[in-house]
Amino acid sequence: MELLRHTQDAFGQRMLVGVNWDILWLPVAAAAVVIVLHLVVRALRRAD
Amino acid sequence: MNTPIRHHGVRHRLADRLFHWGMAVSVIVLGATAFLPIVGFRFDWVPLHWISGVALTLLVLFHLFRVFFVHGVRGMVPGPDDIREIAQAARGIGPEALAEAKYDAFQKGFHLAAATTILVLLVTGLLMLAKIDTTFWRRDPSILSDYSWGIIYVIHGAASLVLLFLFTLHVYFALLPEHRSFLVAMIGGQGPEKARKGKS
Amino acid sequence: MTDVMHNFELFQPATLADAQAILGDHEDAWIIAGGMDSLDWFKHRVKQPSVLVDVANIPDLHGIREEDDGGLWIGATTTLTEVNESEEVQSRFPALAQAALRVASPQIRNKGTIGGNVSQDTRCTYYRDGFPCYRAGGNTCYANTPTAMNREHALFGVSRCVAVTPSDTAIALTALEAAFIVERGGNRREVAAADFFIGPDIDITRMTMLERGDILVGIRIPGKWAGSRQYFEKVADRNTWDFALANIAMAATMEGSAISDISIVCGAVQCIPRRLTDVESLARGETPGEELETLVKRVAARGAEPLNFNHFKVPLMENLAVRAIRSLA
Repeated sequence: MELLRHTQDAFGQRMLVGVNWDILWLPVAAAAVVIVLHLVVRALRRAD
Repeated sequence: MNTPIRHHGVRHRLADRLFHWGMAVSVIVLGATAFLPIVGFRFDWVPLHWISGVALTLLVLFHLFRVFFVHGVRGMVPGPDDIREIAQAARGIGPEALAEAKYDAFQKGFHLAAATTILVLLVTGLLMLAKIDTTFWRRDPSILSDYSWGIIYVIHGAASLVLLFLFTLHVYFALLPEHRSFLVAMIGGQGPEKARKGKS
Repeated sequence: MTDVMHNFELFQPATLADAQAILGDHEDAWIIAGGMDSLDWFKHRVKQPSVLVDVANIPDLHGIREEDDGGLWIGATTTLTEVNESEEVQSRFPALAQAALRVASPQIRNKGTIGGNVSQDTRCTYYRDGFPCYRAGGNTCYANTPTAMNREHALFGVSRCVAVTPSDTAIALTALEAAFIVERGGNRREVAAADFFIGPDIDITRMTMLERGDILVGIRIPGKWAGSRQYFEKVADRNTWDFALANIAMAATMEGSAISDISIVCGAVQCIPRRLTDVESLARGETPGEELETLVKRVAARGAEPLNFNHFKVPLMENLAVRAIRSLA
């Protein structure tokens, strides 16, 4: 999985242009993981 | 996370609430105009995006004025008690023997992360305004080389992904029943004056 | 710089179904017919698709036939010479015949197809020369800077990219309210000209709504404007083998000496064919003459935002609109 996007400049050199938007799901997934973990911990503490 | 509540009163003044919700609208518009075209909703996103970015900059300047000249910076700067609070929470115990504070360690941590991310976005975004034609200036991308622009875009893009992560968590925690008083305070102003109780 | 072309796999399907199957199997597939736009890209080594699908030999995509409503269906791989020389086109839609005649040179018109002409990529020199501009997936428009050479570029609809449509036939077809028939995976749909051409505000990397896997099958020109008064004019630096600095196409119906309905479109001033709706509103119900020409001149280029070197396009556009209206007198 490429994290960054590259293109070629007018001389054929590789050039950085930005973040690869194919990883857009990553922050959403990371947030979902944190939320699930928090819900689990919260439920366990309430059960104690 | 379990923050005992006491001292009910005015938690957020009107100016601060207006700032918060103004920032919320700007960030939502910025996020929608940034990410919707990427996922396939095609529309003319550029004007909405940069105008919202300028609006957010003005709001942040207003907030900074309030911070430096009305509230003071100390209330939101993490201190030793905040580290203790996090350590206690990690051990599964509630906050004990800590100084009372308007914001608990987690609120300060989130604010620090969000503020840093938004400042990075604003600085890189304001540089990108050099590529927009407006009444006040003509576009001139040659202020930076293509390679420098690439780095600016990477920083802007990465910060936007971090903000998406933080935004999602912020909405989740704001909607939790045990945090309802904070949400209510951000709407109406009245709420717990202190999010962390004093030394016991 | 022109170079030898890269290696690619060439498919020459005989049927539309075969072409679609190939497109389904190869995500990177590039559709080619006359190759007048594609081969430039390949020789400049800016675009290097690994698979080419040559649709020039598919009978379903070729030819001109009459429609029940008095209009015409033109296959996407019909050459520009065939369009120009078609008696049906000349008698019903002379603006299109003229537009096809004004494309490039006779050799190019013999090979170039109408489908390729309408869906060709822009001719912005920065983009074509391989600069990493927005359209090429980069972060900058090189044609809109304080020192850029942009006399061929846009007056309207600029959204980061300032490239213009290079097609002559697209302008005539938009004026004639043509519909573009697009097929994908066996599903056929008709797309109005207003939706077929898209600007950088919608998608900065494309000129049309065609996406990978879409095949432009043909173009249907409705009978609405068949036999109406029509006009096409193109202004270019050279009279042959050159792209327009501005062009105009018009179709109008008359009631007595007054204009009862009119459709007028200007090209090479925006990324999409620009319909001059202000001129249309102004002209409907009016009698062509000096008074109308003065008013048309005032509104034809209203809202133009010239770049550094293309201010000349404003009077050019105004005068083309006036000349089109004058042709009705």
